[in-house]
Amino acid sequence: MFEELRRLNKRQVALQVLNILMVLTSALMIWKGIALATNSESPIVVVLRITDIHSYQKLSGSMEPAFHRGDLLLLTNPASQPVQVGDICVFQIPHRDIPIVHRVIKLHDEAKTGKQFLLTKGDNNNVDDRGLYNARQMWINKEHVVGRVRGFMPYVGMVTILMNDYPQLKYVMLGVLGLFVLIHRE
Amino acid sequence: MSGSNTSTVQEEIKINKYDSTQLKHTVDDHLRKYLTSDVNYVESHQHMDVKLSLGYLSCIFAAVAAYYEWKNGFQKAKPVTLICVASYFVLNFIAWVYAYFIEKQDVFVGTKNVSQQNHGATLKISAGRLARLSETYTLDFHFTDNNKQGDYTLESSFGKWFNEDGILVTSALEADIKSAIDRSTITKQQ
Repeated sequence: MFEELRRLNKRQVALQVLNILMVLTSALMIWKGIALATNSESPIVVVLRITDIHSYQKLSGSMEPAFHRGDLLLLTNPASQPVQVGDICVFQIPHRDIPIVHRVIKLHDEAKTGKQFLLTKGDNNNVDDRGLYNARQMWINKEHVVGRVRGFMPYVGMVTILMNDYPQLKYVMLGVLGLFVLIHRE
Repeated sequence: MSGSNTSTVQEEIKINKYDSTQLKHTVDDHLRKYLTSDVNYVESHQHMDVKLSLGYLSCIFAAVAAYYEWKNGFQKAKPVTLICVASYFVLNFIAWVYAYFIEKQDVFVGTKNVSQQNHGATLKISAGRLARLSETYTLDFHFTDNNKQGDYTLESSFGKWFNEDGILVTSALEADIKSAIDRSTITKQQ
């Protein structure tokens, strides 16, 4: 298996390494391309956890029956479109690690600047999200919003969940893929 | 390149005789080795170098995009990201165009300085065709020397060059290559 690799000259080895790099960089560039097109830093997110609202996890059972663990969400965030009441947004509170996916229930527009103040709440929760915001913060703004949920695919995100729960799996998969590309000179 | 006299001990090249991609690569590699060391052609690395430089350059753009966004955050980095992503795909497209239109199926391109003329003679071996599931490998030899040129197509089964154990029988392959070169240069004046 490795004899063929040893027989390659420098240029051919460089070509094999390039093939691996191309696999990785093309995935990255396609991801960035989608991010640019949707103006959303993370246009595809996976619902990771279901816990209760107080743990600030990314998606609690707070959005059931709409979203469940393992769902894949597609986001867009066009700069020109204002957020509307009823939109489901993925937003990140400053100084908190985990983004939250909840619905916008109240909206205030500042007349002069057009700046939007949003209040959110999970569909399945009893209270709005003011308990989740920072101390004394009563509203969030558009800059906290990563994107608006435009579509979703159920169960597809299970792969990401597996990778998260078993991080070694990520490296094993990457290693196997890299080895495969390196050895086969097609 | 190692010395190529048949009297020195060469490492035997053993491959999986059922894998047609490996068969093709082994023949191509040995072809290049034979032509550069025994027949003294100088190989032109242009195709490979173009592919490598375009490829690695596009990877640099990808790395720049990732690093800049990591440092500056998505919103601020957007213009840079856009340029890098666009350049990445443009470079790859150019590389594909080059491979498809210019390199096509070239296996070997080399030049040799012939003593009588001052110009180098060019030998191009291309169209290394291998039909799917077939063991017949076709190579087009194209020889140009100033205004003279000659062509010869070598078509042979891999079975003529590899023995039952999957070892390349270099003498058989080299003899075929040599006769192919001689026949493609036959129009050249002595």
